[in-house]
Amino acid sequence: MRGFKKISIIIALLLPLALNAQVTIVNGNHILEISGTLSTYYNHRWILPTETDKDKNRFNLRDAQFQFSGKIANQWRYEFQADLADFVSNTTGQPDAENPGLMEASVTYALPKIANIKIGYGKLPYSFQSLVPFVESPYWQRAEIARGDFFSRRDVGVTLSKSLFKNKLFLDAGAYTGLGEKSLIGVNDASGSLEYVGRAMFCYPARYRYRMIDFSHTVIPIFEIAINGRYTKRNLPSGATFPAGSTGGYGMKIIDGEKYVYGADFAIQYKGLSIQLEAHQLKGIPTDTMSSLLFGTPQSFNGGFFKSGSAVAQINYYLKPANSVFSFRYEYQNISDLAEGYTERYSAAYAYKFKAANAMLKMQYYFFGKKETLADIKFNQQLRIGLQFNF
Amino acid sequence: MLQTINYTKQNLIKIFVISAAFFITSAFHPKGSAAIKYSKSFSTQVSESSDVVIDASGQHIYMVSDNGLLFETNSEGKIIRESDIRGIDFEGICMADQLLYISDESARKVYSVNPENLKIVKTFNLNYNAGRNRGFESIAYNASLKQFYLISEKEEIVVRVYNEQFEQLNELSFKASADISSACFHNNHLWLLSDEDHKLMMLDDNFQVSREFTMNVHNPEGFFFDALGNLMVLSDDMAKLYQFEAALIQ
Repeated sequence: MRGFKKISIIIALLLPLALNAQVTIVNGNHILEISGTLSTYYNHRWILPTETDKDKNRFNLRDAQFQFSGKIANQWRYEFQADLADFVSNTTGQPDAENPGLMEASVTYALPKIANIKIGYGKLPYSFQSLVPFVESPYWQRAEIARGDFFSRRDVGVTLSKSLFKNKLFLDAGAYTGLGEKSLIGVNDASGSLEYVGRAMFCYPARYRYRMIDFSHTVIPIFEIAINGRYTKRNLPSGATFPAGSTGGYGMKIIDGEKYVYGADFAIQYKGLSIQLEAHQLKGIPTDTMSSLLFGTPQSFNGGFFKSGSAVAQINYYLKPANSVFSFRYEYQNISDLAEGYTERYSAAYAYKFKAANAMLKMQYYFFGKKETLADIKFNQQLRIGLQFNF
Repeated sequence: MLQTINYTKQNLIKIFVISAAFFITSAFHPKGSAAIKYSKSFSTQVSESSDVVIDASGQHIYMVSDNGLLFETNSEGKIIRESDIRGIDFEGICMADQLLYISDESARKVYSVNPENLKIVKTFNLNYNAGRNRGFESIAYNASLKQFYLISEKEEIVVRVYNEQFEQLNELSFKASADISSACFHNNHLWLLSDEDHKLMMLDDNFQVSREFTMNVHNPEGFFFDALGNLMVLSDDMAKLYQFEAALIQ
């Protein structure tokens, strides 16, 4: 029985290697690329002695994505990306922020020498950790801050983008529903407000791409430094509530009141070594001074607002002769400055990059240094191992 | 629990130390290849330049860009003329029989262009079923065999051999580098440039690497040999042309 289990693990992990079919279709100036990602992992959690539920010890088909990416001349671009694994597994009807099913549905028009205008649903220009494509990461999970409980990662809206000084300065700004992944339900909340997001990234001495790993062993040090912020003010009419599931795991993703999120990130890469640092602060000013987000503290203590903070530090090295990535990540998170404690998480990841195909065997392990009571974490450690295959 | 954490931390430190040791050792260039350093560099005016070629007279330099544009530049990368051709993603350029040949990677097309007026003479449609950015990144011309070599970038690297009517004659797999960013036929040899490995390779008649040079250039996307035999390497992200003395390549 034990042998059968081992064999089934190996088969499940290698199954995606059977496919390899990235295709481009050309018709005059219209170019359409069809691609996708398949990934499967096995997850094991060391739960607390007081817990009995081991439902997270399982195989999981994480990605069964397909992507249509098109271009008409150099003026129009469109992208449609969806994940069938998310659609099938989502039995609640509530889009999961990290795995929302529909990942991108947008059209970009290039106004020559002015800016690119992107309209539709897709990633928001906020946070390096969020903007790195998942398939470029050696990890199976993004840093907690970039998993969609504190700020949305995707939304419907319009984004203006401009690059300057030979791709050394990138500016993005946009307006969105503010409902994040829940914007797909087609209506706004009762406040009818929007969220505004902006990001400025400076790179030197050359363009820095949203990548965690320096696969090409860059011969000169290249870095990026960026600031980003977002703002929304939502005043719900009396008796109205936000759509179910839209406020995130801690009730902070959208709030009845004003919400500011601001952050900065820095990344550098050189000869296979890469480092990413990132910090964010969320400031929420609930309309209701008795809001649960203020934890029942008096206004003389809370000043009418709460803050949430987080930081991520990650170091990676790509050992080229062995096609191997080694990575370590430290995360700090204080869900609310009005509640006691904070959470520290230490992660290590290893990824083996297959040469013959665009595939990676990825392994991630993490444990907690400290746990904040609010986080309600019912386990101590987690190990995840699996295969990611892009076609 | 505390013991488990301490044990894990010790292992993490060990892995980090091993990684650091590999990092230091990998700073040296690979065995069997010569490391060369540039002597001069020039900032180019062409944005997102992707390949470059010099004509037989050694007087005219033509540069293409990722956004489908063609320019004539001087030897320091300053724009002299811009073509009104609007392609999609020009990635490779070479010269053959007094004509420029440009590979539009995404569109899977090769344009022959008159260098006098920078207008298209003929368009060839090629078929290569890979990703949009996995088409023909490089093009080179062997005048003695009257053959074109079109080379895909990576996953996998394929060298296709075409006649002058762009009828396919052969196809080979190339595995000596992580990618290929540019190609050039020079002194009766096919030379290939790798962006990710930062190296230039000279191939023998069997498409095997016979000489190899590693270079300290970030994102090398194109190259040519000037009239004096100097190697000129074009960096896309740095928007620069780097000059390596001819003596380094002898």
